[in-house]
Amino acid sequence: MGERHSDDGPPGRRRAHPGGPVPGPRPADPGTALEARFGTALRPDGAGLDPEAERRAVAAFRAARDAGAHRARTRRRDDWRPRAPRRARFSVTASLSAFLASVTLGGLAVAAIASAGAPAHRGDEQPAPHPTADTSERPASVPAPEPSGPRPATSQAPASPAPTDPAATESAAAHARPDRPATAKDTLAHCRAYEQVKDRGKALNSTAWQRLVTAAGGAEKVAAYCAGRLAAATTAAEEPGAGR
Amino acid sequence: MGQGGERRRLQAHDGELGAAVARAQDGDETAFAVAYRMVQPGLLGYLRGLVGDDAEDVASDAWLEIARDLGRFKGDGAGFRGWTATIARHRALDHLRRQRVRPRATGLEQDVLELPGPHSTYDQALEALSTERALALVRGLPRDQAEAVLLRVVVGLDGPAAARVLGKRPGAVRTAAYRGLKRLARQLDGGLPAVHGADGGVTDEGPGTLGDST
Repeated sequence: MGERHSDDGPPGRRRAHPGGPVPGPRPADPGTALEARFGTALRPDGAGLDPEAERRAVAAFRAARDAGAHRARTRRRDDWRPRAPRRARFSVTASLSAFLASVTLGGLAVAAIASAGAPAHRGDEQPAPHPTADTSERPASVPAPEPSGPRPATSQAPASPAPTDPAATESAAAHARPDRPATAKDTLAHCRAYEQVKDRGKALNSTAWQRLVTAAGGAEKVAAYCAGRLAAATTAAEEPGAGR
Repeated sequence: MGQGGERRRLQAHDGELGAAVARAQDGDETAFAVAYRMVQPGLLGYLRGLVGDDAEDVASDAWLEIARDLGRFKGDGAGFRGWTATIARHRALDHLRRQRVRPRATGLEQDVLELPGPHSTYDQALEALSTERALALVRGLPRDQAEAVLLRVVVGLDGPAAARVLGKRPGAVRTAAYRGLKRLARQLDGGLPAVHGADGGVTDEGPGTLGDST
């Protein structure tokens, strides 16, 4: 009995739908059949359209076309193309801000490395550079006499700093030190930190490291480049130190 | 059985419609007539939900504007339905504004109350929802729900397009359509005799529904 009931139940109920007293197919999700029913009920079929209205619409079309109204400019509200252009515009903004963020974060990371790593090295290598670095900082912040032309911007290539150039180092006695670009210090700091960082995954992908590698002329030349830089910096630091 | 089978049916013709619009924009008036015949039913259904018996007049106005501005339009068939619906909606709102200034006996409530009662038999209610009754039910909804339902079911717009026509967020329009359809479903059931007496919820359907007229 119970089996029979449970077997007959569902099909019986289904059969009862069209005429029985059982509730109709109440759409569990209000959509589907209900939408279809309302759509059919509310949308007049083609035969129900007024041909006179169509004639008027077409006449208006013809008049506008002949008057040249169809050459009018597209306003924003007339543009119903799929949203692809807007998304593209957005992605330009997004990628630009992502780029800026990565540059900023990369710079922060490098600054953190430099500030953490540099003093330790300087401490045991050479006590002299510290005061030198400080003195070079102070005049640089004042727009002091700059006989050697405009101060190099930090974005300039680090390949042209004073220490490598013997002539510049020679004439540096009094006023080249103020002009000593920050990039030179950066380069030295990067060189010192490079040994520690180079095996650590993606750190070398950041902009500052890329700059160092570019300046050195390739990843494999960084060691040699840095050795030269450090030697030059040491002599450059000792010279004024001795002069004092 | 996703939602919007009806919408898909309408959207199936969008390629054809887009081609007709493109030819019309090149000056082909036969193509314009083709586009008219494809769009007008949905537009008229939508306008009937908004302005009732004045739908034909408002649609006429809308088509004058559509015919005039066709050159400005950019988009495909689906876009054309959205664009025309926006124009029709503006004309309808203008019309309603004028009516409010100079009111006359329109009687949405009367429409509802004077329904001939096709729901008296179960079969009729289930199989053939009459235009009058469907219209009365939809017009009994709050405006935002009615419009969301009409744009989706009758015009065949998808969520984002309907939202653009209404100038609202897609989420809000989706919710309104959902609530409206749910309410319509409840009212259809509530209108059936001796069906769902327990949970048919005649009382919670608000005023002016069919449940009250039976």
